[in-house]
Amino acid sequence: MAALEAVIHVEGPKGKRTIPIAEFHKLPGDTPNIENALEPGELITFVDLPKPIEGSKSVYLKLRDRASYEFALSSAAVVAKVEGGHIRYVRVAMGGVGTKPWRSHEAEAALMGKPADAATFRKAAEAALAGAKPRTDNAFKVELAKRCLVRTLKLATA
Amino acid sequence: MSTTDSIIGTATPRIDGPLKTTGVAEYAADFHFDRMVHAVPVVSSIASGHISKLDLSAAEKMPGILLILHHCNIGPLYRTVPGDDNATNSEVRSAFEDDVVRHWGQHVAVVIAETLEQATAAAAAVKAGYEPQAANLRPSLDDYTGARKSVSKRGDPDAAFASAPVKIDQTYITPNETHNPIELHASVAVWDGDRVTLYETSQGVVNHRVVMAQVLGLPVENVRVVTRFLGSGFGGKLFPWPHTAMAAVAARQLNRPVKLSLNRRMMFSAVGYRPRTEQHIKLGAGKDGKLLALRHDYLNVTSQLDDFNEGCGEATPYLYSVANLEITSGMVHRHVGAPMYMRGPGAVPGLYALEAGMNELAEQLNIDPLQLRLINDAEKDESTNTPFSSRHLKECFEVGAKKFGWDKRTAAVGSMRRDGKILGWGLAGASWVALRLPCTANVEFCANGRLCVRCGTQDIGTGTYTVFAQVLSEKTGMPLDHIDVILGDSALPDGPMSGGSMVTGSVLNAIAAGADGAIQKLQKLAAATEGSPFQNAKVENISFTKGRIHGKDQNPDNGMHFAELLKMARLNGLSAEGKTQPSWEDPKARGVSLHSYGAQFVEVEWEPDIARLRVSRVVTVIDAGRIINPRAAANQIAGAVVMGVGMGLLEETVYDQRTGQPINGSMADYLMATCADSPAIDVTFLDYPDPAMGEYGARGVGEIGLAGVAPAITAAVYHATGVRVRELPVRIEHLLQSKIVTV
Repeated sequence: MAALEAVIHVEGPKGKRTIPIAEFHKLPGDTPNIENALEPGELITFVDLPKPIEGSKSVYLKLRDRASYEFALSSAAVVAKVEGGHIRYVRVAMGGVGTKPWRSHEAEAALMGKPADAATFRKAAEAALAGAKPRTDNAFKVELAKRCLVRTLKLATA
Repeated sequence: MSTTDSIIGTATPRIDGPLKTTGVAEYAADFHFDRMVHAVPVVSSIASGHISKLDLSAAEKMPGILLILHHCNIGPLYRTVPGDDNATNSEVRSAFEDDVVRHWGQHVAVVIAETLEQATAAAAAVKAGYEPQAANLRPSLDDYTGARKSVSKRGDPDAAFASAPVKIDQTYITPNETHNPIELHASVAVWDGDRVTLYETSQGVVNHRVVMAQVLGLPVENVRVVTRFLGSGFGGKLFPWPHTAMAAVAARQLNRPVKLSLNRRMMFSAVGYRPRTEQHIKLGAGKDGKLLALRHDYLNVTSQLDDFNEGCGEATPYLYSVANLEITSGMVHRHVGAPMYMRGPGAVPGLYALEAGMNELAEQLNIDPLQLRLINDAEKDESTNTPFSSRHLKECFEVGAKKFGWDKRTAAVGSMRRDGKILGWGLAGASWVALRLPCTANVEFCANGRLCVRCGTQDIGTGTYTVFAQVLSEKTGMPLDHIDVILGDSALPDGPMSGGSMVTGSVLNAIAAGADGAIQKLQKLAAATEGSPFQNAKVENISFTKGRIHGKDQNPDNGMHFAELLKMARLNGLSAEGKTQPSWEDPKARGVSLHSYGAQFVEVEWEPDIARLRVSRVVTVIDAGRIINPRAAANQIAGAVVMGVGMGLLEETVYDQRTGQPINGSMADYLMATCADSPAIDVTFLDYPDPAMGEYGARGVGEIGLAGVAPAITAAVYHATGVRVRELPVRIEHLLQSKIVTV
């Protein structure tokens, strides 16, 4: 939904409102108990997905130890449109790398207008993870997330 | 071997299948009684310390609350007699014995209320205060400096290792694993005066009765334990856990039936686990591959009070021919709950280490791992200097290699490809002990024309009801739908625990003897009954075929149905008891080494660019004596292989180092193999009857299928990725170390 730029519609005691997906999940900061933008009494009523970009393709890939019924160790969602071998539209989001679905504008910048090839994908993955701050037990996720994104980009631009 | 028309060796659907698929089968928690109330335990939130305060004030005011039991008011509970093999308990300590907390999740109170919801809410309102003490939760056992017990020794392994031209010297680690049967542990206690009936999730109703009589301080005849059906146990339900006593005491105090069912979270802290092992393997070999020295020094974790030995050296002494060998064991006490035997205890983790070592040795020697097994195959059990009763391990490897296509393997790491993936192939040997346990079965011809067998064992879910019916059908010629199998009640003649894959091999002999005895009684009755066509005939001239009594030279169809004879004799039934002599008292079994064997061949698929590894194919060949029901047996082995995938790649109970709480204590977070993780599985049985096991030559199956799977997986992982993982489970983070990053 982050890659598709979904809009969350909510309804509560104070009426109806919309929240862009990018603002829906909260970073922990000093209030780790608050995970999302819902106010007390608010319910999600529906979700809007914008009309797909003509000629684009979307792919979601989830990597994990077990083949089913497990949260992603790393996941990637990509919407991409390729014309003449070059990337003309792209949205990148990653899962399993933070406390919220992680839209990577850095990866998108590294991809836009570039040739849809392995070298570009790897550069985008490096850009996506450049600011990652891993801990001892999840350090492997940096490399895993890069491989996950590269494979997803490959599938989305094939 | 079985004849073609015999029901022995025939794939027979489960006779209890319809009961299970229609929900009629009654599991322990399915028992309901008038005025029954519900108990919910309160568990400790620290791993070590004392209970300083139990504030019950809020809980006691809640609706429906009837009773809260804890260490101050539980009343007398007793320990079981140490070393009494007929009364094995899970934990030394009895429920609420003192105010000391020795592991996270220890029961500190139990709340009983009219409804489950009320008891759950009140349990949450009990406030326990603690004086915490430092807990030792260190996962690694390498700080252990205590005693090591020599388990088996021959020759001089240290000298032989020192001078061996080729060596392996490695430590292999298996983690704490949780049994996780689908059926939660439960106990329903119902008193009638000073007698109690316990509806239990028990793998051994007879032992359970003796233990609970000792724990509750009752004469054994005042306790009855019922387990009609069991949603598996994997060893976790072998012996009673403290919650049984909690339910029984609550029911006694309230004089109302009490049901206590653990929840899934409690299953991770209150009812055992396969303990972590750290196993140091030293292998020395000549350049020809012949083993010269073998050392297997292992440690396992255990709780503060329980001396639990995981027995990793079980299969090591006899699996290979090697003149110099020693196995030692040690126990490391931590602030965790009591461990408990889990499917293939000892042998399964032990064989993981030994066979992983053998696979590494094969690489060092530049000898095919299959060849290394064949070179070192043992002709006799060198630990006891006794012949094997029936060992066909070599044939397991040869048959498996052929089915798997092992000769197409190229040894170099990452050298095999298929459909854009790298393939890894690995193998390992398997073994498991066989024993015939003493037991009694009662076989009865009933006046309603049916045949009944009774035994105080239980069906853990593997097909025990069915194989018993098969043997009785074989003996009497009666069809399966005329046979009733009554199990799971301590009031029945003493039967064995459902553990060690030993029920089939043990009880069949008693059933066969009971059937023979009952038929003889029928023949005598036919001769002695007034008006019988065989009155005063010589017993040896009276035959019994397919339910009919007839003259030796008479067509059985013209004989008399046993039901008619019973009616004529005014009898409701005629029964005989059959006994199984334990293998250790049988001259034919005492002087031989009794084990099952197997070979596991594993293929993994590896996609380096996304670090995805899956087990794609397993060929398993099992030498477990005669197979009574190939369908149930293959089901057992295939299930064990899937469990092996979990052991190799997924399963580990992880504890919070601050609190001792299992942090993956749910079915979502504790990873077991799902259907999607299950490979294509090809199961073959060699089906050689074992003469030391009695009339049917069956050694029993189940656990043997798990043995050897994990080391075959780690070998296949190495073959595909070049990464040697010596601490289970193999995880994505290990695989990311592979130098191979693309196909």
